[in-house]
Amino acid sequence: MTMLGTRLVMLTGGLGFLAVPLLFTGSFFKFLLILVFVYTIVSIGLNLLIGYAGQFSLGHAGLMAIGAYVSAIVSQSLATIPTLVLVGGNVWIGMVSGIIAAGIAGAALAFPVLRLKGPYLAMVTVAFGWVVWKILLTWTSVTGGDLGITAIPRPRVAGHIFNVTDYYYLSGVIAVVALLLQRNLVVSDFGRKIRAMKFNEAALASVGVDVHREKVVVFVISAMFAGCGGALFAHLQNFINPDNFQFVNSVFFLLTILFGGPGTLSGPVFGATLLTLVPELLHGAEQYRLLIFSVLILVTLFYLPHGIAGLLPTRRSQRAPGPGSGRGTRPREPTDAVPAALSIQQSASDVQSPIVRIRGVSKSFGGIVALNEVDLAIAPATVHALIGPNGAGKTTLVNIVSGLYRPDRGTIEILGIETRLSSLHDAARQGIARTFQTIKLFGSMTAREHVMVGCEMQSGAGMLDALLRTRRSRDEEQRRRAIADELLTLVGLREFAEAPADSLAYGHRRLLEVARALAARPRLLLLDEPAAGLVASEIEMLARVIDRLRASGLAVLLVEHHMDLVIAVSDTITVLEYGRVISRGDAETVRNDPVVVEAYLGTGGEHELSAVAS
Amino acid sequence: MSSALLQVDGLGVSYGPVRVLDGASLTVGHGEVVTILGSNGAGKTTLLRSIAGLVRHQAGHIQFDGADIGDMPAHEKVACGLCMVPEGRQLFPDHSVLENLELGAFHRLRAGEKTAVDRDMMDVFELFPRVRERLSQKAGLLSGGEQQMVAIGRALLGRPRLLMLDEPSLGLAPALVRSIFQSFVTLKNRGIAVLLVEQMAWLGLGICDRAYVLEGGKFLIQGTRDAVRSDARVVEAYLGQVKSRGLAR
Repeated sequence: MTMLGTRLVMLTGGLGFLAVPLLFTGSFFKFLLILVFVYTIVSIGLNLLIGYAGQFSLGHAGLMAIGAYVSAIVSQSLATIPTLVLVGGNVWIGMVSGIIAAGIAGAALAFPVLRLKGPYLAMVTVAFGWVVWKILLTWTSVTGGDLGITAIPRPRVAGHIFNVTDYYYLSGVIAVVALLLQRNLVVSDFGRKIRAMKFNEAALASVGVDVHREKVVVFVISAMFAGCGGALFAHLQNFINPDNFQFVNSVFFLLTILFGGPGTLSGPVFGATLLTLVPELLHGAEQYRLLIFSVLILVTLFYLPHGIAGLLPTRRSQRAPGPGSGRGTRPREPTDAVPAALSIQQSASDVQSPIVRIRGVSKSFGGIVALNEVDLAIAPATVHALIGPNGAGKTTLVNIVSGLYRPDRGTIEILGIETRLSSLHDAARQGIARTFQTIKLFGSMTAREHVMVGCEMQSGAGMLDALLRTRRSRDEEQRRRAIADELLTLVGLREFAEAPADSLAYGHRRLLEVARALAARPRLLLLDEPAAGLVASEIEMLARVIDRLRASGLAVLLVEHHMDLVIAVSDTITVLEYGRVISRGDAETVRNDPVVVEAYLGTGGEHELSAVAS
Repeated sequence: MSSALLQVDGLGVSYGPVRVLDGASLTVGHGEVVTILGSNGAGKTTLLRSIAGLVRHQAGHIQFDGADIGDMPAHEKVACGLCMVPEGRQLFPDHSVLENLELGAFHRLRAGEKTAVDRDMMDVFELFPRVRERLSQKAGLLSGGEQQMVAIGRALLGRPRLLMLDEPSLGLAPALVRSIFQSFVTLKNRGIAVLLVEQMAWLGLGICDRAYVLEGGKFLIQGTRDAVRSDARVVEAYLGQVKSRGLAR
């Protein structure tokens, strides 16, 4: 959509919004539209959670209920203070309390539950919704049981009590604000993180993101949107009872997302509008309503996997692959300059002691000993290669140094201090970044976004800045963008900055992982088979990149099978077999070590096969 | 009339707006080993996948043993003797090695060729003795090299006349890579044609009869092994050794 087109749509939408009360004097249609706004607000919260972050919830009606009941109860109890009632403060305070209460309930639910995944998470949220519903039914003294709460006050400003038209404008404005907040969040660095989370949590953790924490945060935000919707709903209706907040209502919100288009900014609007208005239009055919509804849903899921929003023309920059359209071209030659983005940890290179030293590390899985009493020290500005037969324990060692596994025995020191690395993100925060043997990228996010996600460790703008999209957050984005482009240039992927990662060729994906890891500003970079799937010319480029990283003071631990790369870049080579170090030294020593030739290199020259066809 | 086992003419494949293959043509003769080189994103994997019927092609023809198989679904192609070892092995990690191997012979076991399958199983064990030692283990627990052997074994149990391999050396130790590539020579001697995609060009060119170089969706260079191996462009882009070192010091 062009800029002008977007503005036109917004203008017509705005005028239409203002005109509705003039065109429809009866309250029914306005009432219906208020419901649309309320549901849109709840849907936006759920869209952030499901559509963007990929975490499921089938309990949002429960969160909405908490918002509604708390708002109703608080505004009724505050009604005993006459001065407050006169200015309408009791209702406004009630609504805010409802939102906060839903947020707190969301946090209490999310903290333990978000360690679960997929169907288990969905199950627990279903249970949560049921429990809330049951509590509303049985805690009669507070909630009024199945009769619910009646005579919930309408909001007022000074002496003026809101009528349906006023309420229509109020909820409409709040819905628009909710949309803006959604937009701001999604384009912020937090938004990038939660989108990445949907694709690969381990990769996100490897650049220092505490994934569980971010999940809880997005759940709380989502719950607050639900609470806001609930509060608006309560004061619109004047009465609420548990039947308004049943399991089917949670399913309804899920459907609005699927219908509208999960993970799109406008999806919640389409979904909530359609699913609220269509049943009303079907009022005449009461007994067929459910049938028509379900057919509609099946058809949508089948033919519109991206929902209604998926039908809209997307902006070019989002879909079209980058200039030169990616495939088939080789990465551009990198520049020789060391990017400023890497020069931060220089202080580490003054220290002569190793950046990481492990002593006597052992690890077994079941009965199989993967690592047996391994010592390793990696000094700044050196490249340490780790080679050995498949299954020798190389990746296990990388996983231990990157905090993914805990060693059974042995110690890890970082800069001379004994440390316990409790997780991937913990290791990343202590200056250890890594790439993965099986490439872990964030699906369709662009190459540049990948590296920007990697910038987690660089100071960022806060959540409030992100929500309000302040100058500070925009400047910060600009800065990260610049760093990302610099690092993409370093690995030769600058021209693919706009390309979705899943459109990149295999070898380019590996290089993108390197750039993302570098964005975390590590002292030690762990590369797990970075050259697998690269052709000779690309391997040569990778060697140059590694040389440059060493020059900038970085320590590199390289696991690799391409011996010419290993020999070209390594200062020290350690050879593992059956979890033990069988040889160590510089390239020349290791290459000619008969033990290594026997276990790993095999006889026959570097570049020949002993028997040849035909 | 053509005597080639596999004949591909003017193959065109696009993913959305991106054209991956743009009129690629190649032939593989009976019992011939053919290697395809090409940089990342050149379309090598797409080529194999479209020959195997896993990706739809928009233009061109694919003939196998004289018959047009362009529109044949992938599982029927396997029954015709066109088997593939996909990139990254793609075993069923929770199934045992034996089950993985048996799945390769799925259509034959269903047709009641149990004895023939057992005989082929023996041939696989002869080719990769280590596979026999691991039969009852979960495939996901094998080392990369062993997994590759199982993946090749699985394809062989489909009784291929043409075996297609996508990057069999990926992530394997040098000594293992050598022994796996040596096994292709054995297959050739058993009369199986091999179509090989390989990034490590010296390996791929070491065992083939002929080779093609795929760039930008087309075959730019083709010829006998020695011709391709001595082509200046190939030497520069694919056979270069990593020199580097010292740039930074």
